Amino acid sequence: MRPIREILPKRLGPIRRNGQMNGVSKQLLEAARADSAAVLEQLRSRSTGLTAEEAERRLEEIGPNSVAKDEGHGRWAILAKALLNPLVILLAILAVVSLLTGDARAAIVMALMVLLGVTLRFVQESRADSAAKKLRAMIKVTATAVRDGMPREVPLAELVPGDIINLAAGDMIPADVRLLSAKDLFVIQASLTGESMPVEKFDAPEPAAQASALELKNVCFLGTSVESGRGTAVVACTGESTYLGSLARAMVGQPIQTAFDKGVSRFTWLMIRFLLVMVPLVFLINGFTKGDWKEAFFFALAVAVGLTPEMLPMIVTVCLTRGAMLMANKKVIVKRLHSIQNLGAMNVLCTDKTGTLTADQVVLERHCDVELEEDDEVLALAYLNSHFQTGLKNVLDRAILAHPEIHEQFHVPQYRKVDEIPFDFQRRLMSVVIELPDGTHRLICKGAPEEVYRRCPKFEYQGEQLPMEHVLIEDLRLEYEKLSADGFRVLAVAYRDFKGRETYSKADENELVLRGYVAFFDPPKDSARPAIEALRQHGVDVKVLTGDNEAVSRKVCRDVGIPTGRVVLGAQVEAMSDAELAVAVEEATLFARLAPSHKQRVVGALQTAGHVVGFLGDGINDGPALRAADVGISVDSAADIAKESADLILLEKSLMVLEEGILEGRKVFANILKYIRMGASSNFGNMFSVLGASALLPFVPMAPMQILTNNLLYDFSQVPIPTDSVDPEQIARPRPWSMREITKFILFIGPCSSVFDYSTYAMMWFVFKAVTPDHASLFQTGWFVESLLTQTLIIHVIRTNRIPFIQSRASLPLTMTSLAIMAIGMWLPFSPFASALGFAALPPLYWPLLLATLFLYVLLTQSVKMWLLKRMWI
Amino acid sequence: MKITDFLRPSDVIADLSGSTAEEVLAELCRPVATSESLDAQVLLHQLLAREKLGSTGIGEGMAIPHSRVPNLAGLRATIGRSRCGVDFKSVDSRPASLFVALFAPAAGPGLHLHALSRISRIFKSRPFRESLLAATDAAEIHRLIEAEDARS
Repeated sequence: MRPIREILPKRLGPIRRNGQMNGVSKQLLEAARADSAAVLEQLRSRSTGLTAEEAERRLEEIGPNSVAKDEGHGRWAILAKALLNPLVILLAILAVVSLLTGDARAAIVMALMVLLGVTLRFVQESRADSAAKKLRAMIKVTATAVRDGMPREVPLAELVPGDIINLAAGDMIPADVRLLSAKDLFVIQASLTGESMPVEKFDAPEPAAQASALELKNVCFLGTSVESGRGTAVVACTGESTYLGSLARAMVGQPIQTAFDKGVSRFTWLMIRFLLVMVPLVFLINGFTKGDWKEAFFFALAVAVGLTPEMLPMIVTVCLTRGAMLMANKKVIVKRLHSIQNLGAMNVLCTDKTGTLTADQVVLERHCDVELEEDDEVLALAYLNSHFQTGLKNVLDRAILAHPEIHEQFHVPQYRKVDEIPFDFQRRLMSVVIELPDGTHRLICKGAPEEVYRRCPKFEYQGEQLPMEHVLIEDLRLEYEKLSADGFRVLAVAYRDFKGRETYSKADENELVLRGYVAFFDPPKDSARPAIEALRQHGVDVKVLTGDNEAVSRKVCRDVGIPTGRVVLGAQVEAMSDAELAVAVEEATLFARLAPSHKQRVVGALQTAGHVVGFLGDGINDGPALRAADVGISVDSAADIAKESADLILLEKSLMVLEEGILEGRKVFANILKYIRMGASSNFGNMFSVLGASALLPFVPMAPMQILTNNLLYDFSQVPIPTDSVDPEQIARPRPWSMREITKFILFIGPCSSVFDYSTYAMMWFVFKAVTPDHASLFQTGWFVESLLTQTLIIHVIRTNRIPFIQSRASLPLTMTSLAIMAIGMWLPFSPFASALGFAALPPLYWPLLLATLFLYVLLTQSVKMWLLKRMWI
Repeated sequence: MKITDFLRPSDVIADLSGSTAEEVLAELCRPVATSESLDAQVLLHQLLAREKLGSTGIGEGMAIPHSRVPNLAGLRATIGRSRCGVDFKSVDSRPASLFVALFAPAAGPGLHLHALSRISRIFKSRPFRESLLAATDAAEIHRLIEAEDARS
């Protein structure tokens, strides 16, 4: 199944469609205008849902309910990608040219190289791709559909038109659906309209003339989510025929780039600029100095290929997937591969409190009257409320229902449920109306004390209803705040009696009588304190963003070792200017009483201040912040909308798990950076060498064929980089992408290799007297071997900030590959391929001189690296 | 519950001399401190702590400062009248001239809830408040309260 999120880009601005009914299928429009019965008939369905058999047939007929096709991830696409790269294309052209000029042996060698290059790429990319698929399959979002008359959890992709689905708070709308019933159903359509206020939806047919598709009141769209309330609906359109599907086609390739994506693309462009300057220059210099324009052309082309960082996409993909697989073993599922780098660069983690800092095993600890005296009647009211409500049963409800003894004690079966008014985040309370045995209807409301208070003109104490006098409110508040200060999560319980009628709504939630409180306790996790300490030591600041009140949050923070010097409340966030907020987010570590939009704003303020921000949350209300953060992290058990908005999913809600993921992310980044540093600095060095040699020598310094061979072998030597081990200091701190560091590295390390290229030129020219075009092949062989060996060896210097081989060793595959490539390089001039590749035998004196060159090269590069490190330039 | 159960004639101060909220509260603490042998400073401190949560000035010249006090045997109240009115940060920003201070035991059930409820209700009557303001002395004030208490 393909998560909707993948085609619903991060931070996508509002997509406004001004056109009339753009993107809305006729089927959906007809469904909107018809009455319920006609809709069901039209969709060949019934209120009891489809049978499993019908659903299966329709699925086959219409196709899966997924918006984007697996764009180009098939075997053939990967093969095409492997074929369409400059090295392969140029080698193929050269092979054809060689064949035409009668040099069959050279052509065969080159064909072999093409085969090797393509196979390497294809194997690596296919592996990465199937790994990514496996990861995607680990996260499933389901919808509740009625099949064979029973509500079932059905994977989103398997929904078909005609399915009857149930909607509740926190659900993703799984397709374009026509409501059959709706009860205070509010839907957030921000992903389609950009409007953050929830929109109420109804089940009545739409009048024929309607302004805009998204204003259809009885239709809910794929990709939106239920904020509160509940309803049932029939699926009208699935997959590509949905409104989102029509947008998705227009949106492909629009995701906003992360800092990492931008960095990689800037690096690529830097390399392309090198190419644009170098290649014509090399072509002209060689053409004019040597007069052989054909050779000059192929030489320039080969240099172009040599300078292309053609391995970059593959190294990035393989590093990321490898990292993702390792993280999966550590219970972190990566949904968006590129977020791994952001995870490693993250220096502020905003987390919610429940479940991460606390055990998320909420227990009902107190049930008391307004004076905090234990009172079983309060528990009974709370129990009836939780028992009869059909919305999302949260941890608090479950904690209340964990007292089954009440069921008998209060004779629950004698009550009949009349109606309910579901929870939403605006009211922060919910009510159930039950019929008492004497026929009275009693509305039982439970929710956030502040909200309940506002609706209570009276309170009940010791059997007497007293008016909630102004002078008393603070005294009453003081009591429940005592509970909050002790770290309890407090809900107020209130009621109101009615003479029977049929339905009730939010308007009836006033004139209530405050009855008492239920208090819950969510003990801090034992693992939270060490995890926070570990994160801090790795350079990640933890900030707590919670909707919960200040007192509860403060206590939990204290218990787990998060300083609570300055606490910022949601209302304060609301009132602050951007400048004030910028100061506040740096100082404070605890933000309490936040609404979803506040969380988003805090995350935004931290980002503006230059932090890479992670957000860990699992609630319906965390969606906007998860999307806004550089790394959105959620848990497997989270609300659908939170899971869809996240980049990473933790299989276990624990900061400890996350810490391991962060280190893995940094390793991935460190290895990608190794490749970039190596590729860039050796390219930069080669530019000097090639330019100088072109101007100074009467022949090209290396035959085009040899350059390509050199390049191919060098590429092979870099394949195991993703497996390489990483020094602890490289992952000790968050590592943001720094183009400055990379540029410094290139500018200083690059020329080191040129120094020894020139010394090799001098050696070939003066010692071995390769001074005329007749001796070109000896000269070229000498430089080929030196160049390949230095490039391969330098991997080991650049991969670490320590002393290579002594203080830090590469992984076994990388070491073995390096040795193998160096051996092949030394063997080639003596091999059967030697003449095809234009190699000459090297004199015995060459080898000790080469050894000295290599030694001095490593020494020089190491010294320059140490100097750069000392100046903190890299 | 009757107010005169915990408001004795000696607990009535017909003319408060204080001109600030704190001075008035100190005066209101004195009768209880004397008769219950409690530290007047402790009582004052408790009342001030409660005022910090939000003024007990309920408007229309009326204030009901109150608190729970350790080592108090039962409910106690004092009533005071300020001729020129005192700024009490009341909800309607008008100066307060009638003060009923209520002291409840810290331990045990919330007797003060019933008492405060009762006081609020009785003093809501404007004619009653006016009669108190017009009364000649402490004894008359107490008598008027007794009468009003008996009526409802």
